[in-house]
Amino acid sequence: MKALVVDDSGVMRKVLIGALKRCEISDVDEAGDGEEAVELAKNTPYEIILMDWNMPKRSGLEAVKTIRGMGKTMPIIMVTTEAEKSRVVDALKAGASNYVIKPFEPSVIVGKIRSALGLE
Amino acid sequence: MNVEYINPFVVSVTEFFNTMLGVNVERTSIGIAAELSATDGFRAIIGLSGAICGTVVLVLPMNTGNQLVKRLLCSEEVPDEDTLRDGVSEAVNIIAGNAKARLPQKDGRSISLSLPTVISGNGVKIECPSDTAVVDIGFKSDLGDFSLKIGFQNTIN
Repeated sequence: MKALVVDDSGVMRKVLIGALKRCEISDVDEAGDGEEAVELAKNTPYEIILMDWNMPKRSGLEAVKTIRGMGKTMPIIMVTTEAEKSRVVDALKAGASNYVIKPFEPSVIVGKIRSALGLE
Repeated sequence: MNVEYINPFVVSVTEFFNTMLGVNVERTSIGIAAELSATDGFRAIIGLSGAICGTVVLVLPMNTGNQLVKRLLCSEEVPDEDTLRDGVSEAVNIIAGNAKARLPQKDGRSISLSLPTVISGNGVKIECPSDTAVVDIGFKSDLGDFSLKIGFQNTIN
């Protein structure tokens, strides 16, 4: 099972990779911005993507729209500090499958990953 | 200074330490400060613009910053400098981002955050515009004492 973690913070990518490992997913690619994420998603059949919102070059929201526009249907979980309701609605409308607001308890993100992949 | 603009940051700091780090934190002091500077350690800085304009500075002694990043990564390894800077900048990003959603709405206008910046080392003075009121909030935690300084421009007084 292959996953993509997208966040401009290397530390946050490590935190999210740790959460994926707890779900027994260790084949993980990393991207530091939305543009890199779109490029990687074009050619790689990821089974799940964890996506930050505020990043350089291309935002997570724009990246989600582009990836969905390519016909990709894998679960995409937004993991972001954007906590306003309107933002959550925007993300879900753009094609995000689920939404986790930072700060989060590690068990919350693990639960969302498991649920998205039907591992529960 | 209206508490409606201060409490969201206190709540946000508490949530970050409790949920992501599993660490107890308690506010110990609050007062007006003359400037955003701190004598040493990490100063993780993020700007607010839009409905509310200002600057948020998370001030962490070196050891507290080290401990914070180790807890964030669930690792006992001593983080390298890049990882430390990245970790404390993500901390102020999460704290300010979470507080943003709790701040009073002004005429439906949104608030934007800048990308965070980290200054480390001694003897750096961080100045802010003359129309800025700086609030200094002190905290104690299981990782050590630290503070959050918030400079709001006079639009919210």
